[in-house]
Amino acid sequence: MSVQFLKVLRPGILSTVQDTGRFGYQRLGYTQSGAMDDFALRIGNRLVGNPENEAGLELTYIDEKFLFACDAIIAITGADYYPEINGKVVPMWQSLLVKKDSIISFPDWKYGARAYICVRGGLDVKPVLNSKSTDLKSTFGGYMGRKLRAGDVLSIPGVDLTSDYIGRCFPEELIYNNYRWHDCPLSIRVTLGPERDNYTEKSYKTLLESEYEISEKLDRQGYQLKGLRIEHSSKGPNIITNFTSLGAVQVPGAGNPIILMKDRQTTGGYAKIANVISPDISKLAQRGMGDKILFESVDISQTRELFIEQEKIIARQN
Amino acid sequence: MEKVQYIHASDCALIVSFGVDICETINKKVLALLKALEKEQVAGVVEIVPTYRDLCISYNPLVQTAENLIEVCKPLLNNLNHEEASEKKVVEVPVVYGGEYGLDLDYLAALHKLSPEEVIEIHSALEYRIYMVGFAPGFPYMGGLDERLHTPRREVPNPKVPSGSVGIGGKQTNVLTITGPSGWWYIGMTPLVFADVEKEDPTLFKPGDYIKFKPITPEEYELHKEKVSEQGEKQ
Repeated sequence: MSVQFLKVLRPGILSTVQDTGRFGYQRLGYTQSGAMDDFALRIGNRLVGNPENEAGLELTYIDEKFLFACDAIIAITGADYYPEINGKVVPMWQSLLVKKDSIISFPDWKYGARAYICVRGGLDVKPVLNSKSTDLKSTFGGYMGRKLRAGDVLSIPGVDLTSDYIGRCFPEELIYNNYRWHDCPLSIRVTLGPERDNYTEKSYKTLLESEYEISEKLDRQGYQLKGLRIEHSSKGPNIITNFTSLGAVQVPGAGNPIILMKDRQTTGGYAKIANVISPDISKLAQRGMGDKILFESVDISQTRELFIEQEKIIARQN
Repeated sequence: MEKVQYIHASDCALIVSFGVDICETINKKVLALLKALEKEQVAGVVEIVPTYRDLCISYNPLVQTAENLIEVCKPLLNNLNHEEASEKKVVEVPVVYGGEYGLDLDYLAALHKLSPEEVIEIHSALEYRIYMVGFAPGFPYMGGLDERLHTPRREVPNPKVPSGSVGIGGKQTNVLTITGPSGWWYIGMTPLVFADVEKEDPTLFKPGDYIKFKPITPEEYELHKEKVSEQGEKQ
């Protein structure tokens, strides 16, 4: 039986319900969606004993305020906004027992762009096309297909306060290793291509040897970067429209790279110079306007090992 | 059979590329491999997206590798030609042409030295192949516009074109599935809704289907619109 869990007092700039994404429908034009930082969401779910693809709340930057409408076990992960319950700072990356009528707020910025609240049992919203994620552009999924507003009330399937899932912690050094919060510039690893013919050796030299800055044009669809202009080969910037993968770095004619994120269009017509490797997407999801990044090339043959390494870290939290 | 190329799109996606052109032969191969791969139910494959000339296979590197996927594809590709061509599905799309429903019809007709009626006749005569669906839910990328209607795009895009508009741009015709800016010329409007997540098939078209436009009157259009909104209210 569904139980009221969380009432929105202040929604912040963009709070949405997200799981690990919507798969199987991209061929029909439905976007992937899902938590921008799924490392944080998956760990949060594991801490409270959920399947890791369960839906949680994604908060963008500070200033959100919610009221708990029932007792619950939650975990706060991702960006650190000094989360407080009833005015007292509470630990992150840890499963906590919270009491009905207490208030959680996110008053101040320490680092990161997106925080997550996972709750034992998961958020009770109807899956649409096999996912609970909010598709903001097509306005479906999640909570009424939109971002949260003051007065909205989220539910959970039932109250489960099993004590085994209270006070579980994810080790701090693993968090730091994943995000490299203080690294400036942040190194982001990429594989080269797939459309290498549209670029030259010089294009790659520019991409890999200069510093880029995340511009003010950034959202869940993608991050437009500022920095040295990347030139194309004689083939130019356009390709016959094809699939856009998560983390693809495309360069339109003006020469500024754009990194495609979770809400990207399913297909695109700009040649992709490189692609961010999966383990580095969550790092990037936590960076924002003005942050500097350096692209570092890795050979495709090394990427599987890096992927497995990251999965092992996540699986440590069982 | 032409040589296919395998290209790593990322650390978890492999592109099988069939050629460099937009043509029916290549696109049919893309869709045939999609079908064959779906039948195989390959472990660790999370998404397969066909486009004009590429098939992109996304996989979970914990259980699958690009090298192994290539080995899975090879024998399937050898047998593609023997596969039965899939049944042709033609979706009829009713369109009111001209007037307030297609503001550019008269201009386009004059440009090509045709009457508006001739433009309608030419545009609604063919079955257009849907090479791929992308960009937005249910948005069809079609090919096969009659040469007499090929028209360079607008120099300045129209800032707001309503969803359902049927237009022409370059060598293509299309239907806008979301309201937005567009550099195309719009000659009509359809009352059909192309994407609906509540339906079992969440889009009206799939890659490989065909569209045939059917001229209707403004009265028929309004009637259809009413029916659609009534259905919406019931839900």
